[in-house]
Amino acid sequence: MTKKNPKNDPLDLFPIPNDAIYINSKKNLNPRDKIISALKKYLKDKNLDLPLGPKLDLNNPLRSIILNKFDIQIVYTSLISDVIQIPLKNSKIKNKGPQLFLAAQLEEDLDVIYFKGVLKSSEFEKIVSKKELKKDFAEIEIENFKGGIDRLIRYVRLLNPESIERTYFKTAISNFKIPSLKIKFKLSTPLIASGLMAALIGPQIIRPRLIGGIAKLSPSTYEIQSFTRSSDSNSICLLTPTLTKNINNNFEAKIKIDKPVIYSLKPLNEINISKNGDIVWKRIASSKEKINGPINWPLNSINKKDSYRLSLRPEGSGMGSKLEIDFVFDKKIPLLRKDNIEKNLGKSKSDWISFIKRNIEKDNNTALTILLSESAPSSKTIEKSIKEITKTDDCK
Amino acid sequence: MFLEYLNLLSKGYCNIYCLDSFSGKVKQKLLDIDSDFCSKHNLYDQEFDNKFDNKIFDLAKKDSSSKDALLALRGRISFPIFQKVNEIFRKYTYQFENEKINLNDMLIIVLDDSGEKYLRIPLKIDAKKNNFLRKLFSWETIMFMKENNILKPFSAEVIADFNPKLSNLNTWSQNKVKGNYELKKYLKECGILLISPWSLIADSSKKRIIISWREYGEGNLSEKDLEKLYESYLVEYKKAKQDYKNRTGKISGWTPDEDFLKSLNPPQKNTEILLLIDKALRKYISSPYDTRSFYEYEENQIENRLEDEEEYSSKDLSEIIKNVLRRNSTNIVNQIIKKDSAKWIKDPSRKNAWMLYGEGLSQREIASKCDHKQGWVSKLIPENKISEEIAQESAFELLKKNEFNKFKEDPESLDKLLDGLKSYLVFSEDKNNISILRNTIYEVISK
Repeated sequence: MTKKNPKNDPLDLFPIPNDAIYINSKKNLNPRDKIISALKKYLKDKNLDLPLGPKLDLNNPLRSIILNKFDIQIVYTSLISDVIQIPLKNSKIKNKGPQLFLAAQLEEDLDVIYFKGVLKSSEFEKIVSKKELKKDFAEIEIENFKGGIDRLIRYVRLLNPESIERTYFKTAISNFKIPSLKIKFKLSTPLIASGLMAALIGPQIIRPRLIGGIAKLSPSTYEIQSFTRSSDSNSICLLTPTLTKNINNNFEAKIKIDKPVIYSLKPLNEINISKNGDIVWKRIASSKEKINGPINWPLNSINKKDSYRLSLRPEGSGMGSKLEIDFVFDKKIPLLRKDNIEKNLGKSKSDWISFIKRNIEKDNNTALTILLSESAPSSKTIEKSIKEITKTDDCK
Repeated sequence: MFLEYLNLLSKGYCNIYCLDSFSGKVKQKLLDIDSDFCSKHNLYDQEFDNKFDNKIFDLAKKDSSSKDALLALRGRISFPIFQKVNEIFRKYTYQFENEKINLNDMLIIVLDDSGEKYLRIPLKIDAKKNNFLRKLFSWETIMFMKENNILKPFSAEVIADFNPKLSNLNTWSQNKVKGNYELKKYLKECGILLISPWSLIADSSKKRIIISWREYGEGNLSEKDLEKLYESYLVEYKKAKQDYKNRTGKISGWTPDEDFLKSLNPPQKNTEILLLIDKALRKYISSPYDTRSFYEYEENQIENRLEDEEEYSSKDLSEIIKNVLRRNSTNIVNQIIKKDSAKWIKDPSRKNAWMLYGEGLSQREIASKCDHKQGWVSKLIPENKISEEIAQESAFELLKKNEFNKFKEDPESLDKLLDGLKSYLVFSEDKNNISILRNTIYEVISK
């Protein structure tokens, strides 16, 4: 089954999330006790006076906890685990199933607890309905739990306890059913919420951060000396990759992905890519067809052992008037693999947007490679972001 | 550069790498091995070699009351220990933008064997009086310490559990470093989790095991066999860990032994395949993207673009919300700044960072101006946390008003309300392109 063996070093270390809670527990505490200690510590640190029970049976692992009148089932796994097992015992008993599931990830020997997030009964039902269930528990991906401990506090502090139904399913797993939620409010309050927010700050708030981040990207303009009869110099307005000058005064671009996108905001007459000194790909504009827009990497994955040079000739310029860029790579880390990233992002719009957003500032070439990828899912946010970057206002 | 440096270091059996407590540097110390023993085994010219490792190991066990073979073995393993700690440190400083870690602090934990001939073993019975037992550092002594659960220094722990049939000494030593409890504890304080191969496999789902093997697996194990092996591993691991905990009272430090490997399906002769699975997992997990830090309020922002925004553009409500947010922002930011200002004399860059944030600079820009890494800034100024706290306090207040009463009944709407409030704080900008949160911070610090 062996497929690939990239030379990157595997990780020895994993970051502990910033929001993880460190406790000093006595020996022999079981994981649930430790999680409850962490929860208490959090409540104390935040000065939140919320009743936590059942007072006489708080450490009974078979029971849910009651926080501010909400019934919460604590579920846990290790800090590095990707799945979590959820016992279904209480959920099979009418009026005993939890309203919320709180996922904690802990390193038992280190007393580190991280609250990954919360699932409401309805969310749990939706996830579980797609799963093949084992008899007494459901195994779900830890990523389903969202919002950290903040989301738990949001709900138990601000909602009426009756606003979230209890989980319940009859004995046969296939009959798993949660009583329908209060639809009355569901129809109206989201609109009110959005309306209020729009009233508060107008459409600006709705503008996703991604587009904001994109808008802040500024292309660089490079004057190219023209060797044609015209004495005018032409310019290339390059959005990505970002260039720097090396000690020999040549332009270079630090590339972190194996199939980087190239994007000049102004039309080009010619673009070519050389590998180890030989031109391996080129495109020349014709009177009918200009070279416009992003160019997704037209070759196989970059191999860091090879040297690559990108040559761009702006519109209206003759042969020899070109901008040459050497690609440079970080020796210590392997190149990101575009295909892999896309495969992992799958079809989830939010994951694509999230990935792009998080990378736009630190590595715009990678972010734009993914944004402009032909495999990107259809999304209004992505479309708007692409429109945003095509603005040439910033080209001088 | 680092690898070149390590390659230049001598790798023999007559020296030990240890930390010099005066200079704080790692030095190579010549071991006091009997010269006849050295000549007999050509120890001075012998370079690292797996076969020779095993020969020396067998000798140490056989002459269990002698120190020499064991000394050579202690010198031998000090290099991979030193190498592994350096590697972890190097990766750490590269991967994580956190400045707490210190190489020497790590080395003190695992490079604590300075090649002494004798050991001072604390007597547990009367620990208060600091009574020690002086013993020659021999195989017998290691076994004595093992029985009494006081295996020290770290080299004794590495050697005590070593089984040449399962792994070579180099890999074994390095994996023992990864499983060292004290090192884990130290790294925890730096916000880092050091995890042994055995835990990582057990803490992974079948899906993750298979995908990572597809992507990065080395070797000829089929997916079917991988699945079987993983399933049996989970069952046996649970049993073995429980047994280990009962015997030693510890959770960390377990390593698979021969019996464990035999109990797997298919039975394993050594740890080779398990380590390849671990390697594939680590490569897979270290893939650069991470969707976990996606904030819900951003997600909702994307989803919640309803077309009928104008229908509810009530100016009155808007004013109420703005006032509540403003008041809570000032209160909470005041508390946060007051708490942090206690550290400003010692580290003025903290104040500077808050100020620059207030002026609208990005994390990267702040990091560069404060001569820190970006991770330092994000830890110092947890924008998402602060905005959540303000939004929750504000919502708590707003929900007491009749106009907002319905939000208490519907979690989805409540989420939207809070995410909207957070967005307002973080993204809504004034004339100078400064967000409300940044502006509040600026005002509080400038007071």
